[in-house]
Amino acid sequence: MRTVNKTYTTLLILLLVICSFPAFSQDNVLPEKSKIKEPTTIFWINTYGNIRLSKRLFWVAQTHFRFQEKGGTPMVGQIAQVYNRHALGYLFSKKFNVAVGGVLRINFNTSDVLESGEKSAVPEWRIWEQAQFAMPLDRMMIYHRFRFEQRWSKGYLEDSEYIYRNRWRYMFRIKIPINKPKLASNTFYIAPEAELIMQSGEAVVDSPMEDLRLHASFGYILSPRLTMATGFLYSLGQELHNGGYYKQKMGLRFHVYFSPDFRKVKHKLPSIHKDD
Amino acid sequence: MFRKYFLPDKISLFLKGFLFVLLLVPFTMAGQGEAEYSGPFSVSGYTGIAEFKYQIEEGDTILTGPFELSQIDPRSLIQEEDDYFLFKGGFKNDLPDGYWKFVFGEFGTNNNAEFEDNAYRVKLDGIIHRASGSLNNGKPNGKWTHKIEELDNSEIERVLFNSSINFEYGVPQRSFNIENERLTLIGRFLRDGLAHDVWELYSSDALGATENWYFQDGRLEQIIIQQDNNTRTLKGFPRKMQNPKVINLDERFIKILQLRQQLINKGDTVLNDSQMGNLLAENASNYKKIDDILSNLGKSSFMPEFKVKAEYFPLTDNEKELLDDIQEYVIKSEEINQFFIESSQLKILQLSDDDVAFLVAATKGINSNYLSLVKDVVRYEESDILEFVPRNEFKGEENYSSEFEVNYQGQDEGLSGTFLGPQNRQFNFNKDGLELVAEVAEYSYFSLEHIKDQLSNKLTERQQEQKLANLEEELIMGLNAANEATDSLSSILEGPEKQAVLSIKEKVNSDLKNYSSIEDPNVKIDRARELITCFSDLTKLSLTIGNLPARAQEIKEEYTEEVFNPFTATLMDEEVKKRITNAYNEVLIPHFLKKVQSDLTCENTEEINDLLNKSYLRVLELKEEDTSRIERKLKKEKDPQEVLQMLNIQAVNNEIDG
Repeated sequence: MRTVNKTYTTLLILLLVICSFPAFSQDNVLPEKSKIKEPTTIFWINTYGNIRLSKRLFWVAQTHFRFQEKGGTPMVGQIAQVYNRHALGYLFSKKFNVAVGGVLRINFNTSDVLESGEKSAVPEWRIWEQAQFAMPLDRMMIYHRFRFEQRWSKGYLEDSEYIYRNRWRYMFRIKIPINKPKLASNTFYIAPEAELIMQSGEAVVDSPMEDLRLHASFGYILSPRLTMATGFLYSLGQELHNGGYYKQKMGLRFHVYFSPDFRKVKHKLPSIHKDD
Repeated sequence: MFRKYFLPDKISLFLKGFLFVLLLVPFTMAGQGEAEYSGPFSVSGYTGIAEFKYQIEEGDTILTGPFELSQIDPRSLIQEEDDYFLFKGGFKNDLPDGYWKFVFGEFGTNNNAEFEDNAYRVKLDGIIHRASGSLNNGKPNGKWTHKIEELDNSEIERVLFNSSINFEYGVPQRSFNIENERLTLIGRFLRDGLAHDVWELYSSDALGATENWYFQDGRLEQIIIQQDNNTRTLKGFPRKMQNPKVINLDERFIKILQLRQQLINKGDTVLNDSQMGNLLAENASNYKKIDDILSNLGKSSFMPEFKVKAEYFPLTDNEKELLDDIQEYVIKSEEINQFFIESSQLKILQLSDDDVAFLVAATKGINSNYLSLVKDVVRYEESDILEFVPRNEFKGEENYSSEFEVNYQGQDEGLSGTFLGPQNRQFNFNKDGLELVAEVAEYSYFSLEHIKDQLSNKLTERQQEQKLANLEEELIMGLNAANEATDSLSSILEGPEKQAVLSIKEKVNSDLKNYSSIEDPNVKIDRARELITCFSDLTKLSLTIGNLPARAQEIKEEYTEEVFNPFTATLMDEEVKKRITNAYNEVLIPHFLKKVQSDLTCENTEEINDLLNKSYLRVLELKEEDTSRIERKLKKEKDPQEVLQMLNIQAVNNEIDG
């Protein structure tokens, strides 16, 4: 019985050594065939604030908490990133708005073992611009979102320097009301979406496709000012340092959307749809 | 003295008269002197042109010398007719004196005229009254004649009246005759004016005298009347009258005779048909016509005084007192009669109510059988007749009783019954004279009073029935309106609103059921009035409740704003000020509906309705107001009274939840 156990242990160590070999070698050479990594399970809790400032201006305030697996704990094993995203938006119309702002993201070191001199967390800075179009189609709403980001990020090493990248993002999203003829208060809806995030910059050699996110959520509009949603995310994207390797993520997302309006009643009128 | 010549109805004449006064001034200033007047003048309703002489003595105008007043208006005659008159005579020391002639004409013309001697001559149709005779110191003296004739084409068609009487210083003398179209009276006076000998009245319809009145020194001995081929002899006054009094032979004397005849001969009315009185009255009226004119012009005493002697029975003090009572009863009885005459409801009611018909017939019986005697006596007193009739001949024993038979028309047939008189009094008709009359007067009054009380009760009862019938008609209309409203609303509404409306319907019908069990008409009238208002209020309340869903919707729409949702990029409806709408929808309305279902009364219906309406209007108002403070206070407030207070909604009064 002890002999059998010894044999299994040896085989396991061997398997681990074999498996770790490609990772070990990805920094160096593009593989002959693209390598798709095992998916990382994730769990995101995102809040989306959209605070009305005036007839046309609004303040975007988003905070995302992103967890991912660690060890034997799937999805919520550790904190991965904390986002703090802000912007000033402008409503051209109900169907079109733009926003410009910045992001402070804290990236947590999710390595299984911290190397010496590695920080457990580093900041990442971004500037971002966004344009969003909305199109009604029958009872559905279709959204096209273009977002461009200027991104400064760095590694966890003490002497790590910021690298600059551009991000080019397009998201297609549909919201389909379920229990009401249109999106309104007390409406359940489903929202399939797909976002392609491309990147460029000196550091980007062979990995322009940073991420392709496929997300389907199920939401509930409590009021025009508060919506809750949850969904399943799957994403696939190239590793920055070796485009031959693709990372996968899948997991659950929980979103809270809130849009308070602290203006006095008399300032709210006429509402935005005046020019419709 | 002068003022009496004026008539206030002729202002222009007054002005002319005023000028006349001015003319007189110089004569007055001069003291005594004779003057003449010629111009417009008016006396006793006759206005014409006068010519006369006068003197002013100590400020008085004294007529003296010839006098003439006449009026002739040819234009009026041609257009329609002319009232012609001519008074011509003389005055001596303000007394008419000498020969006088009076002509009164009511003339028309047929417009045929002839030209002769440079003048148009037209023929007259109409009546001409001529009177002439002499006066001495204002009293007729000598023969006076009156002739009234009917003219046709200026020819005498008929003699309507003719009298000829001799006077000596105003006292009729010797024989006279008076005739009209049908009758002729011939008689004689003694020198002192007392009727004497036989006065014969002939009728053109009969041969011989129809009435012979026999006088002896002014005392009427007997009357023989021919009537329907019968001759009746009526006794006059006894030869030895206890207390004879000389009075004028005029209508009053005839009345005295008629009354004596009725009393002495138990209701004999033969004298009531006597023509003598009429003829004497006609003669007197013609003399009065002249007397009015003369006595207005100066001092005179023209009326002929035909003297007779009548038996005189002066009233005793007791009789005078009784007469006062009788007059009072007559006045009071007439007031009651007037009430019956003026009551149109009574006239209608007697057609449908036999009791009323009986009482109305009894009233007629009292008036004709009892009160007529009393009223006659009062009239006799007023005409100075009563003291010339033997009042002890008013006998009651057989004629009057405290109960009498009444025949009256019932609804279906002629009925009869006995009127028992006023029940709380005893009457004794075994009396005579004014004692009896007073008893009859008292009986009449109290009987009428008794009947009036009963009829008043009937009328009140009838009026109440009518009032109740009208009220009930209104009540049923109110009931129908309430039922229609609740029926239609309950089929539309749902939930608590439906239950509330059904409760209203139940209340309306149960109230009506309770009403129908009331028996006392007075209570019924009061309750009917209450229920009319109540049903109206309940109908209004049910309509208000019927409106609640629409109102809730309206409030919802009013409190819903379109809000832009940036995450969907759509406009979404958002209900604002939810604490206010919740207070309305979840506290107030359920409270009122619950109240309607469990605690609805006629008294609080209007208030609940009022509060429902006010709450709705107040909530609509609050939409545009700054309500942050109210909203804070409303948080978790479930007490409707507190909510009403916070929203500043006040009931008409606060009994609703007291």
